[in-house]
Amino acid sequence: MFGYVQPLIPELKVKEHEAFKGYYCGLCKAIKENYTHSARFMLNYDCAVLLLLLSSMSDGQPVAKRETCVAHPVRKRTVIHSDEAAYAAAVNVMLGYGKIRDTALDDRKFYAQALSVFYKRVNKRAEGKFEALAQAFAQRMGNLHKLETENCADIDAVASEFAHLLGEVFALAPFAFIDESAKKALRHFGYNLGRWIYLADAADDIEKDAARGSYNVFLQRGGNKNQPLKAQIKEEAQFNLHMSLAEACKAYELLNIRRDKDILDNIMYLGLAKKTEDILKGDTDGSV
Amino acid sequence: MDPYKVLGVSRSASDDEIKSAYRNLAKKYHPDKYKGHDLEDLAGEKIKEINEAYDMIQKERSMGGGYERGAGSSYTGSSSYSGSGQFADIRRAIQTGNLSQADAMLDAISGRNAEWHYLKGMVLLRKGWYDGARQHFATANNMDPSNAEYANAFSTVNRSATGYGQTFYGNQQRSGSNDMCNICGGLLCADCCCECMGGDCITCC
Repeated sequence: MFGYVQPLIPELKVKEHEAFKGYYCGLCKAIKENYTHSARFMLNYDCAVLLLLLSSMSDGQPVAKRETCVAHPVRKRTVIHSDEAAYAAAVNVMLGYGKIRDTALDDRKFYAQALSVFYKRVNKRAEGKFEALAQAFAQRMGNLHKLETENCADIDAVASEFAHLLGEVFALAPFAFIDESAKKALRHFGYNLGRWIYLADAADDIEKDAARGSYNVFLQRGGNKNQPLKAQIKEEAQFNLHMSLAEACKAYELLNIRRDKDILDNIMYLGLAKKTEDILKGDTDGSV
Repeated sequence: MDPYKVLGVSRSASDDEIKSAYRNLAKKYHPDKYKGHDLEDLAGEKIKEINEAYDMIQKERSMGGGYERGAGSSYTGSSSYSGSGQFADIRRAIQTGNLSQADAMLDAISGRNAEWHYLKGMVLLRKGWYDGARQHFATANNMDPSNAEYANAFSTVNRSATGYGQTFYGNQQRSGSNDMCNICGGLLCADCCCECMGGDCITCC
């Protein structure tokens, strides 16, 4: 379900690409430091973007260092260390665990069950650090799972659960530089980005879900059965995806971004738009 | 507050550069874009900040107030239309942001006419349930095609979605291409807008 939120790399400057990768590495290192080595397996781009956005609003100065790591033991890479990384790491762990547990509940496959047991403790540690966030996760993921098992056909109802969850993820970030009005804008931003992620994932996976008989909100809706699946849902998916992004941008434009604005602009206006286009065309190589 | 930073220009920027930066920002945070929106107050603050910054620079450079800025002051709400009896309360509830109350009042009504669908669409739109909002606006528009309010709501919601798609496609592939299709399309749009307001600029359609 994750990894859809990314910049359009060919349009980034080399230094911007380096910085983006630096935040990604910084998040990975923060997961290792706060949780376990093995929890890094859950690392995803969406949380790197969360980290980038929060850091860009902060008044502190992130530190860039050249370091090696397990995945890249020989060549040193730029790693950006920032105060917001611990929060993004917790979000990453909770989202990753939610996804693993969902698969375990749905598929009842052995490996998913085993992973779910294995990561339970890691998740507990993240929940202990950010309790309000843990509550939002329990409530929204629970509602979402219930709607999905009921084969809910209402796009708004299903998507809004994940949307509200991301709204909380952005609004509950515990930093002094986020005042009440920034919180409001962040909540709106998160809601719409979450709505986009959920629906983008559903539109992207529709053929796979149809073949496997899994739940997919777009499959619950009648369409012209003579057309290929992607064509049946295209108009509906396009409206909903674009509408969510348009609203996310409205909130984004109200945020006080102090640095790395070019990377964030790229993500908001190019990266997400390109991803949407690819998904509607059926061009993605599938995401984790 | 550093007014130059607010407008995103350097201290050495020319007056024209400042004016154009100011205009771009005023457009970006224009009240119409955020009208009836959850973030309306935040956008209002931004506009105020931009106006103040522009005024400060003007004063600093002592050019006098020759340039009249439109965005901040020209805006007045256009929600003068008040519906019939039972819907008036619901409209008030929506305007004050009391969405759950408005929703409950709507659900209690059994006769569902075009106005009911329009208001239900407004509630869903504010809630972030865009798919349902669009469907209800479409129904309202079909039931009463002559009503400008419903037609406007339906086209606005569609326009905001396509607007996002175009920022990307426009930048990537067709930057600066002013072909005949675009011009005709623009004219037709202008005509639709004209008709909404009671006028007409292309009489045949």
